[in-house]
Amino acid sequence: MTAMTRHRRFAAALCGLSAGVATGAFAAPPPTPAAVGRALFMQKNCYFCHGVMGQGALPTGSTLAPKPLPAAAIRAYVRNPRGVMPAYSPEILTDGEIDSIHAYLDSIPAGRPASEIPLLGGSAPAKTTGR
Amino acid sequence: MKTKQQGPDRRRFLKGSVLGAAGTLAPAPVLAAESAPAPTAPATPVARPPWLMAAEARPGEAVAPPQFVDYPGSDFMVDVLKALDIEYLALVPGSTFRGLQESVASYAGNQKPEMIVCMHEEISAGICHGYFKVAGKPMACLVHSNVGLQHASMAIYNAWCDRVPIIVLAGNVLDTTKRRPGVEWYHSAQDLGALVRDFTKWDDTPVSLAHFAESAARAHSYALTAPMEPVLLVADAELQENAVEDRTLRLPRPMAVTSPVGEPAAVAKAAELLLAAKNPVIALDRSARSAAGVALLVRLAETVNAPVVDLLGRMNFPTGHYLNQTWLQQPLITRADLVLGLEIGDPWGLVNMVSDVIGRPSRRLIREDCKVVHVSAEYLLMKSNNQDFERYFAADLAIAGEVEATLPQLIAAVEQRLTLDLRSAIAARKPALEAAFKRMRDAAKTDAAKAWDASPITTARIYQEIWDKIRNENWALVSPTNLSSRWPHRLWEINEFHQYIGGDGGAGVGYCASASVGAALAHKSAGRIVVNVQGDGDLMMSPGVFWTQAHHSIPMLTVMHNNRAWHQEAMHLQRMASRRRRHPENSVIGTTITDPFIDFAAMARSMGVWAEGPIADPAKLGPALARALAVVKSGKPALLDVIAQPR
Repeated sequence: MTAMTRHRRFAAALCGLSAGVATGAFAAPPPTPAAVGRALFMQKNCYFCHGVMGQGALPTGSTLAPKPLPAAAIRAYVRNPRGVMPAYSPEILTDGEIDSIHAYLDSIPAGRPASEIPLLGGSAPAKTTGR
Repeated sequence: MKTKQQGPDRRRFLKGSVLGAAGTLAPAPVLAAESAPAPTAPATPVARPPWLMAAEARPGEAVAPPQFVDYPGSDFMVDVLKALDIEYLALVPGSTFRGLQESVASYAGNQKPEMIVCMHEEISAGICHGYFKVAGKPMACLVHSNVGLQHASMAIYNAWCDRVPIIVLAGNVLDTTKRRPGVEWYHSAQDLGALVRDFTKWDDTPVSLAHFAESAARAHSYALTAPMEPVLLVADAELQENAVEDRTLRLPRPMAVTSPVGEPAAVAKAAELLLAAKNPVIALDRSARSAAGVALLVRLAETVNAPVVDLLGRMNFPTGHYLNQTWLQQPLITRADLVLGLEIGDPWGLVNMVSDVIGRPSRRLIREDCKVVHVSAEYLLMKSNNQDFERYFAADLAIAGEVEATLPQLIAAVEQRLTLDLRSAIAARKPALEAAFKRMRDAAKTDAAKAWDASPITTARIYQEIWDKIRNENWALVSPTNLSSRWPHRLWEINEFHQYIGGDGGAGVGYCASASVGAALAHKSAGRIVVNVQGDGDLMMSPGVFWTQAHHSIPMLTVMHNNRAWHQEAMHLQRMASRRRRHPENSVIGTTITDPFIDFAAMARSMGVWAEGPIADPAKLGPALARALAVVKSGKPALLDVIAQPR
């Protein structure tokens, strides 16, 4: 098995195989920009530091979604980051690919706020906790 | 698992000595060889093989009576361990300590010390590490010479870096003329302690039982005197197996050495600096060693209303306290005019930073006029090879002393200097601190809500599902939180010393799987619900922990943080690839645990641990936790394999 095949399997597994990424179904419609962006987000390992949904993680990477920065701002930052994030050159990540990733991030809906999640102290009706 | 005591009653034999702690041994009862039942002849004649006939005495020669050892040296060694109050002995069996193991099994009846049987010596030593951080007293591991000790060495190193005392007993055959040919030579050393001397505080190779007794007491005392560290004592096989000949042997009396306390004038100066500061910050790391220590730290912080930044080397400060402003570390440190560090593992790194970019530039975080006071027992610790002492940092006031022992004096010095004006100024800080604390906790909830319903499951969701089930129980978290975004410290109410045991020390992968079992063993008698959130890479260093959990019925809930990668290393490769303008797709090669995925539930079940998973749907996690906790409450271990986001 090649490294790339191995990687695709890994990324697909982490996506939960639910992203609608084209996997070779010829009759399927062309993937949406968001789907292409999600595949790139996984393939380029953006999720390593930022999480699969771009939610960010305190020790590794900032929150990217929902409501990402404008595509131009993300492009500029990826090329010349100020923090510990490494820079990604155009040979590795083209402007078009960054725009696709932005489309994915922009497609991520805002989830429930903490105030509506009982396990975070929210007041929404609690589902059974199984206790 | 206890065994029936066999043979002569050695308890009675040593009773007087043990009670007197330093008494002289009474003469050992003698079992006359001739009193043994005479062997009966087999009913049917059996052909005697030539080798046996050759070995038999020639006609006319006296037949040597069978030899027995009635009071082997290892029985005395067991009594030494009892005198030192060693409750448990973690081990993988090995021939160089066969005498001692048999003594524990038969002479001690596998009670105090009770054997905790392990599948790898790294597990044995790791269990000792976790045990101490809950029990507050050391347990011992018994390792085979050379090979066993080298297996254990990684976990000993973690304990070393974590300043945790463990007592390592190692078998060895020192006398070359007594070694059996072959393997026993591979498993013997001239200077066994040399293998781990760089990360043990002290070691010895006793050449007599009296020497063993004294050195055991010395090792125990050194290990427990701050700065606490692991120690090694070699138990020579000949000493273990031969009969005790010295009838004047004495059992050692344990010696508790008081902790080093900061020099009074320096402590007074620290108090003055603390009170003179407008923006003081108290930084904690391996600061508290007991519930009393937590109470002292709270009292100090409240007395001056100084925000606390906790680096989480121990359970130091309640997460629900308004002065715990750990997640505001950077703004607090950069604004501070005084940083009081209390047993900080890396004081340079607290007030400086190195960016992991090309050239690794470093910069000072604190203001030029910021004073740094550091109280630490590590000023009394000197070793050179391993670099766990971190970068040199010249504190403005460096106080050599153990924090918990120094705190009463520091608090008293602060309180003595509190004027009405100072009290008023200090009290005036409180509303802003309370508001900042609330904003910090609310921000954590906001962050935790992100991707709440995602699959793979977020680490925030995992921890909050757990919290929902244990918050009203008598619980303890026995795993580090640094690889899962520190959610418990951001969201849970961790207020009691026993509810968290701090970090891994040396960041040696494999710590969590083993140390969590040791911690759970120590929690067992308190009936606590023990939770271990377990990384997949860490677990695969020592998967045999499941067998030990099941074999000894150590109740604990293990929840896999299964991100199917050595994720820290994956990020490192990503950094290297992008820095070199190479394809980041290659970063998964050699850093991911896929193809095939590991079935952790099946692995746990194969060793007798109840398990479910993999669980990737967040909605299914809560009910699964409820089922797993029912198992744990019945006194058994349980595991849930959860497919999780990277961090």
